[in-house]
Amino acid sequence: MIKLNSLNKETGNAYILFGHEAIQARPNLDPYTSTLRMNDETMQVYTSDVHIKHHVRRGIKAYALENKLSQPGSAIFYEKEDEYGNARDFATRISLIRETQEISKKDQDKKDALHHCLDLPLFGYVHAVKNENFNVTNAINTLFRPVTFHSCEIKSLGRNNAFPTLGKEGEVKESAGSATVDSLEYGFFLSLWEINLNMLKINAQDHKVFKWDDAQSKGWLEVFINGLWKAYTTDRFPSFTQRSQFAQFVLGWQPSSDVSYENPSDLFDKVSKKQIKNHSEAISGLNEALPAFLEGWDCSKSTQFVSHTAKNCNLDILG
Amino acid sequence: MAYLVFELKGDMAMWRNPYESMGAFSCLGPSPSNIAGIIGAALGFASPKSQGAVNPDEKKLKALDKKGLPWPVSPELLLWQEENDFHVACRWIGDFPQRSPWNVNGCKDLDPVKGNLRIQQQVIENPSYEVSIRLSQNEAGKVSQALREPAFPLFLGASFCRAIVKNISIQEDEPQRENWAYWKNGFVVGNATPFSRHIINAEEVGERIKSEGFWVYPTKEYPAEQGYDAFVKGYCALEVNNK
Repeated sequence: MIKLNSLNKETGNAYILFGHEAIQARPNLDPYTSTLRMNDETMQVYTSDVHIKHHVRRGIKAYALENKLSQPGSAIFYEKEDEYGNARDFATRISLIRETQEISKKDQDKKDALHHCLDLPLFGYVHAVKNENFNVTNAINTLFRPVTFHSCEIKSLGRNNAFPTLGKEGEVKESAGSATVDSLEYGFFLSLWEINLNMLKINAQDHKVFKWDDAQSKGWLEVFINGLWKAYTTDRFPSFTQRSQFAQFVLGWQPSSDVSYENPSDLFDKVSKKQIKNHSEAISGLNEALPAFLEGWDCSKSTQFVSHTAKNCNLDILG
Repeated sequence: MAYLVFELKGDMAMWRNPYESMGAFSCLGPSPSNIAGIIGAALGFASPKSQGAVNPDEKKLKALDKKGLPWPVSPELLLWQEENDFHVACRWIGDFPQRSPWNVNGCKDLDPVKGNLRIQQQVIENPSYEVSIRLSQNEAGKVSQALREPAFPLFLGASFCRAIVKNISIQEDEPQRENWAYWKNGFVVGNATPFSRHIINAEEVGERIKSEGFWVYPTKEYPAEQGYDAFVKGYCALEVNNK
């Protein structure tokens, strides 16, 4: 479990830089084109905040259950299927939260989901229900698109479907056929998260399960950071295209002066080797470019509240 | 009078167009109401239907809902615009404007039949603007401080587009620049944003925003037409129809 140091102050913005690598993976394809999202000029691959938050939710649930912070049925709101794969809609989800938390009809409140699930105070949501509508602004989000700091090799893999699709009469509707898909050979992604601490308090201060007085900002950030870490280590998504993605480091800090607002994507211009094909090349590139980047963001030992690395992540600056 | 000047940037922006049915294609720049919203977020003026609102009057909100205002604008922000006679100028200072697809499987709704709500949108890449607001010296100081440490997160039109505010300054004289956005009512050529402003008497008229003509964002390739004021009144009031 990753433990945080105390925060320097409870207002303003805090930042988290998360590094993870993807090996022979297909992270966050464009749902319309089924291709990797990339900068066609630099061949940097990027993902979306939606994608990473989807994974983090799974990690948060694992962390919450391991530490008895919540119950399986109500740790995370955005779970569209039950454990048997049955789909459930918004209303069903809310009623399940109430059931799990034993909230009687007379005690029901429109904010039950916000006050009992761990993902909503962090990532916000819109409660678009007639006569109840309200919105919760996200307290945590990526400041820039999560992106590789280097060019990537993309392979086009041929795939064959084993069986044709048959119609009602047994006729062949779609032949076995074949298709090609993008495959990212290697990518080291950097995602920079911004946390508005005031918003986090507003969203979480009335939480019934993970109480603000006990947790404070530090506790909620621990939920997020451990969720993030677990999503890319012990609780990775098992699919063929997602499971080969691994957390490498996480750094959190509260700047005490003006910052550069440099986009991790721009590290591309700072590294001497643009195309990176494996872990050791990525670490070399980060050792070259990360110190100046972090200095610009006022990230130093005195401003950090968390620093954690994977065993194989030998970044000099994280020592 | 003073002029608060700052740069507004980000990784991407999604300024939705109220005239476009899907709202999926971003305008190049913000409208005055968008900029007012950013100032309101920095100052901590919450919409009464948001979690940030302190003790919202539920009865009044129900009545507004019936009147056609399910998501009212923060009354504090409307008052701030009126009291400070909110006048604003904005210009694009980025490179050649580019849009890129930002297609995601959203999770705003949980639908057992259709599955994920799939969203197809076109965002502005590397948005970069200079904004100036005409205010009293005292108010300019307050807003500049709020922009440095905003009460709520700042966004470029959508909550997945976090905003960055840089180079904040307070100047005595109107900043002399080329290519401020200019207001035009009628046919326009170039990158035009519907000229949308908050209606300060929204509770009376049952509408929160009025769009009139366009705020045209000149670029290096399409420079500004001459003869327009850079600063526009950023709010409006509608006549109450008592019929």
